Amino acid sequence: MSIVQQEKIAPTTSTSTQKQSWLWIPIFLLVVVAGDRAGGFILKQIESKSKFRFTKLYHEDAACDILIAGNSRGLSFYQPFIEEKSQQKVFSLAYNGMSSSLGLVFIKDYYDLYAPPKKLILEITCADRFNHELTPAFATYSSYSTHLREFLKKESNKTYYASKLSHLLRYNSEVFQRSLRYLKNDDKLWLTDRTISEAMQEESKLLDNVSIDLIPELQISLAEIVKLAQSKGTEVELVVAPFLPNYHSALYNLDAYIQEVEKNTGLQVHNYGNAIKDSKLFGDYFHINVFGSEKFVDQMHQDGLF
Amino acid sequence: MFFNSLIFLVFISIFFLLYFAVKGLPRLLLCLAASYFFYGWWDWRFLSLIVLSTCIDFYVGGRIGNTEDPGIRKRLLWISIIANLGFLIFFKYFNFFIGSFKEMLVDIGMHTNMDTLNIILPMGISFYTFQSMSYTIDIYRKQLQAEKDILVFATYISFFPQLVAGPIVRAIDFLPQFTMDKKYDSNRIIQGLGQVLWGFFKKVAIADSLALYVDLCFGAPATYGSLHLIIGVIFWAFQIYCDFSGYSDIAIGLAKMMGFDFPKNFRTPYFSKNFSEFWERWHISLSSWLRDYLYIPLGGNRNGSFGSYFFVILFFTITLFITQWWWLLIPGIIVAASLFWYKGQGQKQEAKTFTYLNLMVTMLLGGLWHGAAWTYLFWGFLHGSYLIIQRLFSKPYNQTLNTLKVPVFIQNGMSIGIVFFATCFAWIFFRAASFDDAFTIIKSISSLADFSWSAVLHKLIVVKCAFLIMLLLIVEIAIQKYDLSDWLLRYPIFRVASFAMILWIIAFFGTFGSNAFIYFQF
Repeated sequence: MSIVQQEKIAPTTSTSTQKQSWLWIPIFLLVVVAGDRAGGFILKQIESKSKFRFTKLYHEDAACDILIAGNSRGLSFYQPFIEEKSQQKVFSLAYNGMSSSLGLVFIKDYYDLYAPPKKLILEITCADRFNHELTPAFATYSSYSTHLREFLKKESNKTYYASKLSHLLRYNSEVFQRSLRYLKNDDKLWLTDRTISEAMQEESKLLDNVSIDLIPELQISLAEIVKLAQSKGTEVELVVAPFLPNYHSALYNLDAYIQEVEKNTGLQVHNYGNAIKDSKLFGDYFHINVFGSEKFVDQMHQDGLF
Repeated sequence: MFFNSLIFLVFISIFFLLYFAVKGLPRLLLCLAASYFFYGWWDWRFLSLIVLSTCIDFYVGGRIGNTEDPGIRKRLLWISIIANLGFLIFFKYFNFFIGSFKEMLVDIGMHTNMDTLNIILPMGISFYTFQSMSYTIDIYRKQLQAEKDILVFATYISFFPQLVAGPIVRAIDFLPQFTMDKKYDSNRIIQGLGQVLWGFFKKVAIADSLALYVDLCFGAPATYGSLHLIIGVIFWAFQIYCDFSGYSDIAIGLAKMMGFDFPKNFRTPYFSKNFSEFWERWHISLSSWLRDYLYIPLGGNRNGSFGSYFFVILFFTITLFITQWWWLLIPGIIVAASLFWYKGQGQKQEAKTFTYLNLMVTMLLGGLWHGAAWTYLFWGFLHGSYLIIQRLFSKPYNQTLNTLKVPVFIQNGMSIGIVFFATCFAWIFFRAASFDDAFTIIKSISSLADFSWSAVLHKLIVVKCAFLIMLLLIVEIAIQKYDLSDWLLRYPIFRVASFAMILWIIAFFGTFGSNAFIYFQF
């Protein structure tokens, strides 16, 4: 049974057919590259039609008086409510899981492309974690921004080079999918209307010793955002958006976190962490829903933040 | 080394360049060296286990083949089985049994100093152990001649495309293929490449995308509403299918490119109309292995053996003592009484009784094969129950539908739906970290609390995954019904278009990051 002892000849194709059979390979590679580029081009055209915040940012449709930034908790600064109260134009750069280092990239781009806004409202818990999965998702917008390309190269080297190789890959992201979602509707209304489930509320009673991380690099980015905005003449308001009351009670180091931010930025933080007591105004532990936002925005307005 | 990693791309490119440049002994040595390198990349220390297993079975197989004495043959076979199962039990189940036993002692107020060991589970041990055992068993059964060349045998045991997650290819199918001279054959390369690409599509585009959602669902089931969890369970059913069948496709495709033919491991299992059919379509190499080397030796659907009773009583006793669910005694006694009653009803009923018993034992062991956890065992129990229930009720069920003159396509749709639903139910236990988590999911789903689209989180992933699943089903039906793959591969224009399409879809929908294949852990 040995391969050396007895060798039967398996049927194979003839030499001329073999040669011909190679021809499809270069054609295949050519088709793959051409299709990739064509697909990338079409998707870019589709993306450019979106009313999503980052598309607006790079298509000169984001000029505002009040600029908002932060992670998903920054979405609690519900644009329509702030616009109604302030009678000023509002634009949000907040995005789920956005860290202050990534936020800095978009704020730099904003200042490069537009006149400085009068006010920047920044939700400061965006400096509590890196989100290495999110950075590659913004490759969708890499063709528009040098800052973003540099950031991608530094933070997600593989994505940087892979998205140069394949243009389709740039659009393989939740960010692009979200831009598709806002092809017809403006993303101003992006905030959950969900109410926290009974099970989650019950579970929140068991929470104990929850912490918020102090990450020096992200604290530095946060301070850089403040410095950049101030250097352009923008007034900066640092805010902590509300947490679910039970979560807030279990959060033992929020004050230390705030002190650190105040030390790094030289600004006072407006702490609304415990401002909303009604659980029904929350979508989960960290996010108020649209009804909660109405109350929260009202409170900020009364406090003179805008 | 994972198939979906950059290093594998480099590895396989170099391998194929060398593979077709040499033949005969150098090619065999290349295959063996590449296989050991592939496995050693993960942890070189465990190569010694493969080498040891290879040496034992090569020696034992040779000795069995050289003697006609039934006593010696049997003793040698037991050496092989004990050695192989010994490795498997030690590395896979030692901590599980010790841990469970300790818990039981603590529960009844006894304390012990027994410690679990810090054992690493060698990747793919369940696969190559079963593969190796099939060799000695087939020689014992005189269905296969012992291999004379240890290099061929070692390559068979460690063959890298299917080493760590199957399919389990039997010696009787694989060894004869080594005698063929495998010249470069463009048709085989094209067919193999097509299957490899399709496997990558299933793994990278579908399974890994579904994993993002499924991991969240099963990670904290209490935090999600019923619709969210229903979607999570369905996605899990497709994730495990695409992950595992994707791996099998890549393995079979690579082997085809090298000139080897492996049997199919999956045939659109979620279109099965009954549970027996499901097991003829799902992980075929394992289910047929269990059928031929466990179910039939236990007596199959004809009669019973000491083994059937032994395993059932052993399972029941261990479960009873470890879980301390004493109430299990009541159904246990009822089942035992029914068995004795059936036994007294004549030969036909007796055969049925043994069939049920053998089915249950096979499925329980099949469940345990996947991992050392009670949830896997329960998964096996559920599938055993499904098979028994099917045998008990399929006749009246079909008669009722025929009496009611239900159109055939509706009957088929209903059957596929029932099998899929029951399979998904069992998958909950397979995936859940504990029984508590599984019951939380079932309770939440059955309560229908938060059964609304607005309560579903990560809607973008849901939409994307639903689209990919639809695409998968359409293509798989087309391939199966209209032999689409043959047609696509034959004409260069369609071949180029279909291969390019797969690459574009992977680039646009894939989830990258070298996620390990689920079945590596088994």
